[in-house]
Amino acid sequence: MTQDPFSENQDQLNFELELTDNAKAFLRETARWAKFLSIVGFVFLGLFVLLALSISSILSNIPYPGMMELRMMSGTLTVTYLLIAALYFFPTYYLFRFATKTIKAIDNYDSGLLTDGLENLKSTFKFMGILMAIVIGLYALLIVLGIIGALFAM
Amino acid sequence: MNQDPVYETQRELAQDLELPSLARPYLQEAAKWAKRLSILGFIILGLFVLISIIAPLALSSTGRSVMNEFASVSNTVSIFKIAQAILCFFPIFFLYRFATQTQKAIKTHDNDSLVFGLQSLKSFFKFFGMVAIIVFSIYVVLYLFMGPLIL
Repeated sequence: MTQDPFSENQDQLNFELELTDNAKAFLRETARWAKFLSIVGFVFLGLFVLLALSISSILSNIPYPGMMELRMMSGTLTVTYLLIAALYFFPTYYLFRFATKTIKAIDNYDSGLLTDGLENLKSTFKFMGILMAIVIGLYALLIVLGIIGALFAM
Repeated sequence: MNQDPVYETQRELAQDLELPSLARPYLQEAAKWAKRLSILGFIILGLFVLISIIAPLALSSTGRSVMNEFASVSNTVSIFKIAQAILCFFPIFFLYRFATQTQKAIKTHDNDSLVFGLQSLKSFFKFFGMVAIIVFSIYVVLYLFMGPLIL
């Protein structure tokens, strides 16, 4: 907020932010946990896709008579699950790329790779942020519709 | 691992990996989105505490005799919910600290803040990694002990 010309000048002068050894160590550990998490994410994505593709056969093996309607819906369920999987693929993939590129960048002192890695970290957070905004927007819409519905029911 | 002398010398020479100026906007934007996410997280956590901890406690303190059984039930649940809220607080706090410290580091060119920010980012990911490991091992243990009963 306090943008006095002197500090602006100083900004231009010492423009380089150094990655100290501590910073590098923390960034490396971040990337290693991120890699672990992204691999866990990919495994779960795979299981989820498997569930999506096999849901119709799972439902047809349950011998309850009430399952008839559910069985009719199995195509919709498959498509919905595949859509959810597609949605979660992106942040997982960004996180994996952040992790692998950052580890490589630190090991090889490659600042270009570090830039790529941080770009993917940005993409991960941005994707999650936009997704959360959309989900909260939908919840807000549902609450407003619910209130309107309740008012009309009175 | 690969400790050949040439590699080691190269390491010594290129000891300081600078944060390239091209990477700075990405780090800044990552911090910006992380800040929004963490603030959202704090709001959701606050609503959770309000609805599932404070509201039942307020209800139980009204001392209605009919409510007593419900009150005792909701109080025992509250202990788990307090634990849940405390557990949820940490990653959100780490994310918020990463965001604010990184933004401060970039704005004021403060290396210490950058280190602190990256440490918080590490804690954030480590927390989820630990949770994943714990949940996974609980599943494995459950499966080993309960699997024969279920299947």
